[in-house]
Amino acid sequence: MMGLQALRGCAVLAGCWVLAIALREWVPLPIPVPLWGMALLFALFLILGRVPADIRLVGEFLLHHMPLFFVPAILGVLAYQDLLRLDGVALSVALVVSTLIGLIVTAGLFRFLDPRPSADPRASDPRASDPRESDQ
Amino acid sequence: MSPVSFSLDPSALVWTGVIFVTYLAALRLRQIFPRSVWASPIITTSAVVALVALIAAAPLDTLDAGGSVWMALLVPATMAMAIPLYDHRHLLKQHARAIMPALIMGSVSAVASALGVALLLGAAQPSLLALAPKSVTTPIAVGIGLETNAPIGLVACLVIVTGLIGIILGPVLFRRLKWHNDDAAQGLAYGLAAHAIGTAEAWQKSSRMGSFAALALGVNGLLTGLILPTLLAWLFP
Repeated sequence: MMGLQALRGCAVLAGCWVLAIALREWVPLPIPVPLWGMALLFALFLILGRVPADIRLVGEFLLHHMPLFFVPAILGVLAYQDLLRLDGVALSVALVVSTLIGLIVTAGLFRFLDPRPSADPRASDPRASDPRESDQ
Repeated sequence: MSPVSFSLDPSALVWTGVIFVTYLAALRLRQIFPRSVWASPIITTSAVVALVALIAAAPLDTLDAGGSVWMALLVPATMAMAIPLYDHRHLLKQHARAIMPALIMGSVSAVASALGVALLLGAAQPSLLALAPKSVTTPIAVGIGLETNAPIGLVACLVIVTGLIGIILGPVLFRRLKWHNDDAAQGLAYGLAAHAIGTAEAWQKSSRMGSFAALALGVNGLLTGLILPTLLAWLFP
């Protein structure tokens, strides 16, 4: 039963993926396939008024293991050791400084504009639990 | 994302396996050290596999081919971010007034400070062009790089390194600022400044933080993708 559910979830995701590739081809905007797919799924949930259990099963599994899918991209950095050497110091400093500034400005401005304590109301979290527990 | 190239080369499949087994071990390590950034599976798995590849002097093509199976799953995983976004739609709507200015200013300040610092330190124009899209997720950044004729390899590399810097420095930063209990603010910051790597990390912490991160990732990607190519064409004619 669980297997069948997972298969159905995979089928829906694969369908959205194909449709997203088609939209990427047809629409002349620089919107990449994953974002199209995210938008399609979101629209599907809005139409249905819920997240179907089979899609949630597969989707949350994928989200949970995203670090694994990033490893090959990170390993790709090995190929650019020479390029990094070119402007290495300038680039490294720029990356560290700008990433810190991006983090501080985004979180700080949000906290400034949104003084309501957004940390406590776990109650407004519909699933109100850590994903690690929910997908067991 | 790069297309999946299913290589029949058995040595590529060995790397598919090495990455997987290392990841399983990394998950175990995470259970032992639930709080340390250095036990984050994304960092430990990459570091161990990179080390093994360097010691074994593996050809990078083979390593790439072996990893491509896992990399392809990034697309459906990114799509699946629609689930936390949908779950938290009321929460996101409720905070929309604060979210949008925070994302726009965060994005502008990250790009401007990156270019400013690199200019001050005398970086060459190709490096500057490659630096500009570094805060958006890889597929969008590469798209922008193609528009602005930046060196694509360097673009992808800087995006990835940015994500790693974000998840390594972020927890320290937020703890020091005492913002570490604010899931919403941290999620937005990770999704904006450290794109999908930050979002993957935020999702590991809580589904609430993950959905704010996914929102920031999507909005930042779209806005930057639409605005930056025009801006760069004007700055570097």
